Amino acid sequence: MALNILELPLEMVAEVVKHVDYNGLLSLRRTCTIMKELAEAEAGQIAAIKRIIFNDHPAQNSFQLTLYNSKPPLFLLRFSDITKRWTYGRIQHFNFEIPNDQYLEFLPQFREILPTCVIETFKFASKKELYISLFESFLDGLTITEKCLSGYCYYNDKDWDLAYETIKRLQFNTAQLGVHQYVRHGDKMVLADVVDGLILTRDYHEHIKEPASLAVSILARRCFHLELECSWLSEVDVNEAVHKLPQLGKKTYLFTRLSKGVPRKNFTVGTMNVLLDITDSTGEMEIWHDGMRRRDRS
Amino acid sequence: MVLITLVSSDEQNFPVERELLKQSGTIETLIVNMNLDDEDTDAAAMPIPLPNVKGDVLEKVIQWMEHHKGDPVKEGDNEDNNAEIVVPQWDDDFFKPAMYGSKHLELTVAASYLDIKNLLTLSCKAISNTFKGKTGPQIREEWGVPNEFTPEEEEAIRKENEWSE
Repeated sequence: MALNILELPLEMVAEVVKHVDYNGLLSLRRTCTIMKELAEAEAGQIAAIKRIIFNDHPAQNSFQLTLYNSKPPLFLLRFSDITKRWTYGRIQHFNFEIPNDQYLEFLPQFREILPTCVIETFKFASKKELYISLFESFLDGLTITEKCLSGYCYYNDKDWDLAYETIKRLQFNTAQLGVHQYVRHGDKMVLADVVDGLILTRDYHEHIKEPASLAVSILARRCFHLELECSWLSEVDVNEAVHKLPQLGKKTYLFTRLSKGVPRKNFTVGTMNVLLDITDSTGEMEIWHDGMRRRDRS
Repeated sequence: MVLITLVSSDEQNFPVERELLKQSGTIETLIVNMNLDDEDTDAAAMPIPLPNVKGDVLEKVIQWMEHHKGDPVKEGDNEDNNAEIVVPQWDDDFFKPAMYGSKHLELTVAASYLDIKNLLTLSCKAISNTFKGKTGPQIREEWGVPNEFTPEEEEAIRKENEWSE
């Protein structure tokens, strides 16, 4: 006659559950209350979340969760909330459509079932006080490697002040923002004092003047990782950046595009390593100083 | 060869090679603390009572330790890789006859009590392997777990699992 596995001491049953794979954990949830609780606790421990994105834009799915497929956590979200699910390689994506008035209820529930695992990236795109305030408590206590304020609608001084305040309140360490002409002025670059990484994209089809000076002034502050997509650099700009960046005396990384140039690959200028890949009239360029090389915009 | 006698809960004596017992943290601590290692003292002849382990289980434990003599003893937990641990063929055969029975569970409890980390790990892994490809109700049946869920609760859990299955 079979012996009830639950006659083992609880810590022993937990020890067994530690060895169970994801599908096994799902099955264990359906055996009994104790197994269900142990499986859920264990699922939390093996979880890895690649990305959580929140966007309050009405035309987009407001909440997107991206999980590693190899060791997905056991999330018990309402199935009806998922509007789209797809797998790309090892990654699973889930979109949730949660009506704005339900966020007050949804976020605390979601926070409760979040396992105590590292979340690689959290991206937040909203200027609304309601969401800033909600996510302030949501993020409290979570371990997130990259916390990014993301948005393309910071058009004026007031918006940029709000971006600055939001970054400080939610303790973001990166920002990805659309650049308006105001931004080129030094006082707005105070953002570079509160983040490690900055991605500046282009608004209004307007190129920033003196982009090399802008890059150097940004990297002279706390920020050491800059992706300058708001303006393409000429070879004159490149030369300026290449000569000024080493003078900052710290590791820096600059990713940008060249407006034109002769097709070519890697080369070295002084102490700078420059990866240049120009095809036809435009090309991508990475400049990194003192061994730093990081580029992950997935 | 130094032999140390282990006494099971049902009073059976098992003379065991001293070297083998290094795999058991519990017995090793006892031997060191009680100076059972010293052949010049009376203590060496003293049997070690194991009131929590029955004779047939202890016999299996000793059989396992004999096969794994000289294996490096696992240090601490390595939880990250638990799901990827592979049970070697010999151990698989060793656990199989006792699968779904009290023997395997008692063996697992004994491994924990005697602090034989490698045996505990492999035993737990062998149990968890039996869950593979099984549904909740099948696991319940095989491991004698009573069904305490109401039909409504079962349906709710099924729905919760639905999106991730």
